[in-house]
Formats: sequence, C-alpha cells, structure tokens
Amino acid sequence: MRVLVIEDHQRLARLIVDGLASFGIGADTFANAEDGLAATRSITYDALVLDLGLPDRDGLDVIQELRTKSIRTPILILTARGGIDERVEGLDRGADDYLPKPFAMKELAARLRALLRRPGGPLGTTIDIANLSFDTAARQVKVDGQVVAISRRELDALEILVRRADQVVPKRVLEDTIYGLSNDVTSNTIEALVSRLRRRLEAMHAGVSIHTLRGIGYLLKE
Amino acid sequence: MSSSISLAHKIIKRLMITTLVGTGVAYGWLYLKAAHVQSYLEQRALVQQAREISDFIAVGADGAIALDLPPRLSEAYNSVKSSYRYAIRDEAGRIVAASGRGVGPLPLLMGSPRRTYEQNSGDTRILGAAIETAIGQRTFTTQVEEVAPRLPSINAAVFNEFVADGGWLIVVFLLVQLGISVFTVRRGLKPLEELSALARKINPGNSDLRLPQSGVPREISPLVGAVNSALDRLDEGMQQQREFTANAAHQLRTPLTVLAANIDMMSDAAVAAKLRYDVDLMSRIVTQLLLVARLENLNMNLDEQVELSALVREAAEDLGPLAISTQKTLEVDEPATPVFVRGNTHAVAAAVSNLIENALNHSPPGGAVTIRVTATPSIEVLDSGPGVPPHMREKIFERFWRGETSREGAGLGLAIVRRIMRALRGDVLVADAPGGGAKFSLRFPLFSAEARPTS
Repeated sequence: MRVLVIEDHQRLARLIVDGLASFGIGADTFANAEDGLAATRSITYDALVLDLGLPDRDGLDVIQELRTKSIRTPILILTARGGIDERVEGLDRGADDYLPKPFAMKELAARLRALLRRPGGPLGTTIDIANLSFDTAARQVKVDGQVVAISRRELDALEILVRRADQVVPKRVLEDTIYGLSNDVTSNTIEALVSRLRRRLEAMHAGVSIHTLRGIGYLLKE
Repeated sequence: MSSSISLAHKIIKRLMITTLVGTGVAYGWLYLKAAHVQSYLEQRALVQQAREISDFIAVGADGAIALDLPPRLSEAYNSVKSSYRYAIRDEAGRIVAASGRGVGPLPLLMGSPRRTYEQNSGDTRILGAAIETAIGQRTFTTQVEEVAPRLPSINAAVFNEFVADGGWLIVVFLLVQLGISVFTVRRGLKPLEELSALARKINPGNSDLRLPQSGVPREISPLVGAVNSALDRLDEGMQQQREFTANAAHQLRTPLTVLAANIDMMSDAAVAAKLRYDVDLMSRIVTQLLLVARLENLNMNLDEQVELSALVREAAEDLGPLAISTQKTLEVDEPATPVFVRGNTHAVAAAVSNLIENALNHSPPGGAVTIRVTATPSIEVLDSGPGVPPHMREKIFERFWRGETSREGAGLGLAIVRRIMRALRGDVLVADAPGGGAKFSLRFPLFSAEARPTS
C-alpha cells in the first residue's frame, strides 16, 4: 500500500511520511503540484494526500485535473483554512475526504485506511476493531476468531457502526439504512435493535462498546 | 455635550425677537403719528373757532369795541356745561371781551399771526389757540381755549381704536410667524436628525454603513462628506486588522500541525499525551481566532433560513466522541415540529458548538449535558458543572476573560457566542440549571416570513 503526499511544507511532509510509516503505510512526498502530478503518471498510488495551499497551483485545480483524466485514486485534502465553503468545494470537485490542520497522525492514518477499505480497495473487506472482526464481503462477525450468530438487521446496524467507529452515527441514518422506506419503524425500533446488539456483543466479551447519545445517535468504540 | 445649544431654539428665538422688535417699532411709529394727527386736528378746530368769533368783532366810530355773538355761539361758550371759553385782547393784551369764564394768560405770539398751545396743570389739560385779526387800524387777538380733564384715555382711546381697527391682526400674525419659524427650522434640521439616527447605527459590525449625501442641506454636506471619509479610513484600518488576525491564525496552523506530528512520533506516550493536550488547546484558540476573523469579515449572509433541531443534532454528533471519551453523556431534546429562525447556519452552528464544548468542559466525569431546542425559539445548553455565580454572569461573555475555575479554552468562546447572537438580533444568557449547573440560552428573534433583517 502506497500513498502520495503533496505538501509544500518540507518538515510537515517528512513527518507525515514517517508518521504513516509507523502505521504501516508507505508514502512518497513532493513539494509542488507539477512534480506530484508527474509522479501519478509513473506510479499508481492507492491514495493521495493533497495540501490545498501549494506554491505553484491551487490544490482544487489539481483535484479537478485528476478527475477529468478519470484517475479515480481516493484523494484526502489537508487544509489550513478549514472553512466550510472550501471543504465543500474540495469534496464537490472530487476529493473523498478532508482533514483540517492541525490533525493527529492517528486520524490521518485511520481516514486513509477507511478510504482504502472501499470495495476494490487494497485493504480488503475486513474491518478489525479490538477483538472484533467484521467481514463486509462475507457479512460475518467474529469475536476472538469465533463467528457470532446474529440477525440480519443487527448485522446491518453493526456494519454501519463499525465502518464509522469513533464517530456518532445519527439515529436517522440507522433507520434509513436498515429499514429504508418501510413504515414499520417506530421510535423504539432502533433502540430495541441496538440494545439487542449490545447485549449480544457483551455476551461474547467483545472489546467494543456501543454508546447511546439520546436524541443524537450511537457511537461504537473500543 | 451637556452645555450644547439647540440651533433650532436659537434660530426661532432670534427670529421671534427680530419680529417683535420690528413690529413694536413700526406700530410705535404709527401710534405717535396718530397721536400727532389727533392733536393737530384739535388745534385746527380751535383756530377755526377763534376765526369764527373774530368775525363778530366790531369797532364803533368812537373806538368802542363790541362783540355781538349770535345766540348759537354765545350759548356754546357761556353755558355751564361748556368746556370752551374765549377772550378778545387788544394790542396791549387787555381783555376787551370774554366768555363767562376767563381764559388763561396768553402766551407770547412772537410775531406769528396765530398759534396754538397746550398747558397741563393737575388733572386738567388746556388746549388753546390764538389768532390776530386786523380791523381798520387796530389789531385784536382772539383766544379760544378748551379745558378738558387730563386723561390717559387719549392714549387708551388711540390704543383701543388701533386694536379695533385691526391691531388684533398683529397677534395672529405673530402666532403664524412663530408657527412658520418652528416648522421651517424643524424641517430644515430634519436631515440632521436622520443622519444622527443613521450614524448611531454604525458599529464595528456594520462599519460599511455610510451617511447619504443626497437630500442633505448644502451647509451640512461638507460635514457628512468628512465623516464618511473618516469612516472609510477607519474601516480600512479595521479591515487590515481583521486580515491580520485571519492571516496570523492561518499561519499558525502549519507549525502547529508539525508540532502535533512530532509529538505523535514520540516514544514516551505519557509525555506525548501531556504535550498533545496543550497542542489541542492551542489549535482550538487558533480555530476560534479564525472564526472571529471570519465573523467580522461580514461576508456572512444573515438571511438564511436555519432549522434549529437539525443544526443542534449535527453539532452534538460532532462533539459526541469528545463526550464519550471524557465519560460524559450528551443528549438532545427537540420539539416535535421543526423550529425555524433567520440567520446563518455556520454562525449558529459555531455558537452551539462553543456552548456544548464549554458545557462538556465544565461537567465532571459521569455528568450530563443536555441540549434543548424550544419553540420560543431558543436553544438551551444545560450542564452538570458548578454553575455560574450571579456576579460573573455578564463577565463571562467578555472577550478573553477567563473564569478562575475554567480549565480550558481561550476565553474567546463565549465572547464569540455573544457576538454571533447579537449579530442575529438575539442574545445569549446564562442562568442556573434546575438540577444545579449552568443553563446557557441562545435566544433568537421570532421568525416571520415577511420580516427580513434591514441591514
């Protein structure tokens, strides 16, 4: 797995390369857009980390150029400005995720892994959190290597929570994804479902817990 | 400012004084003239009477003088009621014929063929006339006097006559004049009042406001122009200040990222965690400075329709991980129907996030933070911290002020919240939460489809 980092700040670029290496992600770094784009022509990277404030070109233009050339490599943008409009424009032009500066190396690595875990991505389809392992292709959950017997809807809920571990998943997202347009969803349906899932994971001594934020949503973490 | 003078009063007062003095002089002159004409007419009548009497003087062949007045005249001068009297004097001044009551001494004629005189003694006024008549070789002087009580009523009479003849018009005229003066002056100064009202609205939040120069009197126009260009210069300075803040905050981000990345690479996890805490704090300050700079750059559209429940849920979702990792519970309580306000999504979200973060910081582990949306419309954030004592409730919204018990934050957060809410014509208040702790309320003006902010 190899990512390309286009960042003009030399020390930061070096730190990103070293940081990602400690998470097992290899990275090459270039200080301007032209050199970076040239590199994409000779090497196929798994992901691209792009600083928006580059000396020679606007980062947003770089995204657009890559996308118009049908290069589908996932792009994560780094921005110091952090304004909503800039992020939205970046995402609209074809970026896949963004991270405002300053960021934690752990988060950069986690987000890159999430991008690489997409269908067809180089990380495969298994998501591991603590002793829990979720295979999104086989739709199978294992705790300490033992398969957990689980209902389809619980599995749906767990997949969403696991994919967005450490983030709040709004209750509405669970409702819409699991039940779609069916009318048999009451306000308790999701609560009951999550409660069953939580008991099942506890029974299996899974190293993850599902937290409830009333009126907001749920959060799964180690 | 306390000793300021009213231009309107000054102008009206001076106009009125000028008018009163002018009118007084004009009518005084008329009065004197009228009085003079009256006395001239009286004197002429007496001269006429004297002439009439002198027509009846006859000198006999023996030199004896006879005055044969017809009964009409004799009656007129000799009756008890009569106020007139006469005397005929010869060349030596001796009285040769007279009415029943005598006349006073004749003042010197000084060579003039006739003269009139007026004597005032006590309550009586004597008006007299004398003419000389030549009969044959002789010359006689006929003297006629009118004795009348001396009355101030001659003045009063003139005055009454004056009033009756249209002098009352002066009062009406003065009142109309006063009315017109007040109206004209007020009207003339109205643009000034409007300019003042507009100038009062200028504050750092809308420093692009300028005073209109059209419709302003020519005398005031240079002042308006000067004020506007002064505002331009101040605005430019403020703009530079804002850009400086934004740039400084922006420039700090990359070094902070480098610092954070270096800390992440440290082998000693315990030390790294301590340093990371401070870097996070610095990052938050930088973020808030950028937010302030952005808020003050006025590029914000304050006219968006914002739904509070969805906005609060999103803010809570973002801060959920922080709540869980610090062992606090976070809860949103929203009404069944959506609550709409007019404002800016980004700004309101920043205000709510600041309050939630603040509430989480002040609640102990195991404590709860509740965010409640009400139809008032308002957003309430209740924490389970120590609460805010009454004497601190205004102070905590002052920029860069930090409470003694505050453990984190730049002290900018609550100042930003207040700034945002005031810009939206709402406010932020703090009170006690029912179960202890603090309750921060964001109050929004009532949403109505027609009422659009006038800024």
